[in-house]
Amino acid sequence: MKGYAGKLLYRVWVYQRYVHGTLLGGIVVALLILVPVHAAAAVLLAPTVLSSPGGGPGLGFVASATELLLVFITVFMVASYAGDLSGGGGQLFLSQPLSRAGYAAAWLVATVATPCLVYALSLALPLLIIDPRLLSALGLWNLMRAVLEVAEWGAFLFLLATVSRSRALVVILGLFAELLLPWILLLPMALFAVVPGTPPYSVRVFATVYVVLYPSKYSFFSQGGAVLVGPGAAAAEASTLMAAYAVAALLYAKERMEVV
Amino acid sequence: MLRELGVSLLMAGLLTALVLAGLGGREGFIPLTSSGIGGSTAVRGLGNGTQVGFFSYDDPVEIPDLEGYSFNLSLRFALHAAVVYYVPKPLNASRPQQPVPRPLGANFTVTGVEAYILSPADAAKVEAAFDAGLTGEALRLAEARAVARIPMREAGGAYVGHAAVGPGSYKVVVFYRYVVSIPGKMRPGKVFAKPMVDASISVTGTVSPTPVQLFRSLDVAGLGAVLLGLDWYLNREEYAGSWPARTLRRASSALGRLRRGRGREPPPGGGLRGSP
Repeated sequence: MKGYAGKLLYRVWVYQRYVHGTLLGGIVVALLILVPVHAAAAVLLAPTVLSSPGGGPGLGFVASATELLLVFITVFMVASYAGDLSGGGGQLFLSQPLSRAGYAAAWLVATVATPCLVYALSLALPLLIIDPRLLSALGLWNLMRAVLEVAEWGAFLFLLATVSRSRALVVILGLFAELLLPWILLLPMALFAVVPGTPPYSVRVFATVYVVLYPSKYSFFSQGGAVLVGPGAAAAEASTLMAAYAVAALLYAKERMEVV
Repeated sequence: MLRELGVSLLMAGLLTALVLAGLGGREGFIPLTSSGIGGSTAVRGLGNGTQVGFFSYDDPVEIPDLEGYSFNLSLRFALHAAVVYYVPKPLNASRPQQPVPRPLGANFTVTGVEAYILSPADAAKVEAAFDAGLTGEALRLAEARAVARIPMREAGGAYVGHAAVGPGSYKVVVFYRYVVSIPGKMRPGKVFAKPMVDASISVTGTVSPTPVQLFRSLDVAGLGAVLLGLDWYLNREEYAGSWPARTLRRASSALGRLRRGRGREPPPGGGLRGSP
């Protein structure tokens, strides 16, 4: 059993290496943009981070802007997975002793986990180099909420790509869900915000669902008791959702996926 | 994954060192805090005809302890004095109302402005002494306890000064001396002076990369280089040849490994794995 599992893992490792190799160019270009932006922001905002409670909002704004690049990278990488499924690239490798779940797992790591890891490193390493205390002053939540949000939606798009095998659907729905939908959903909540007092329970439930779907926007609701969960619980629920999407995608790939 | 991690660490280390070196040494380039306040100030006589005004900046200034950073505190202190000299009218017994004094113009001359950077506790003691009317004691305390003393110079209708400050929490207080002179020969009267202040404070930082910071960036880049080297050692065949050939080689290598299971021996017949 151990030998069999080892062989399976080895095949996934071999294939993920190939997939990573095809996407490496995009990662290098992203790093060339992200690291200088994050490093310059860290140099300029480091004194404010240390002297403000919770690190201040400055670096959060920069991360919100660079998160857009992470969104584009993830959406287009997941779209390339859909393209591989529909274009016949997957057929070539699935004709080898590589399971469908292993094939999907390799793509999941390469298209969702790796961009998020690279983004997190591009944000955290400049802070570590300038002064390690900046990391603890900012806290894990402030550093990683953008990564968590993109990973959550990336896993959802991966499930969508596995089921639909449509590049266009992944790109359109991905950009809509990550760039437009969070602002559209804020509109009804903004209407309730103008009414003084604690918002109705249904609005608070809606706001809680919203922060679980978009953890990086948690700070919009951090005052006034508008949401029912704290940042840690929101992060945990977003992580659970992300894991559920990933497991669903792998199970679908294992049981139902057809490669044409 | 090893290769991507290596590339990320290598690029993050090198690019951060470049950014640090590029932004390093630029004076006052990094803003920390800036605030402005205005209002009236308390004044006391010093005993020799000189009056002393006292002004304390409201909020303490917090300077963080940050590797490679130095901070400069700049003050701007503008005085707008409303000064009048009242000559009282003699009381008239037939008119019981309060006599209206006749205001005359008087000159307000500032003879010196000095700012003191103090710890919040010392600033509270200085303020308490001044409020108790112990002007000399307040001045002595400020001189003795000050972290830095800033003699302010006049520039553009205000008094300005700056000083380098280390990490800590500080309060800034300002003492200014002034004399009021009444033009011409006047009857005995009373000087009324109400100096108003328009003050601002700003702290800017300068980063000068330290050897430790540069070593840390090289550490990160070095770790990335080691990971890339390890990846090259484990997968040498993928790095050989020109770029298009390398893409095919990578696919052929992956297909070959999947077919064979473990091991890195070339497949029978060579295929794309041979030297170009």
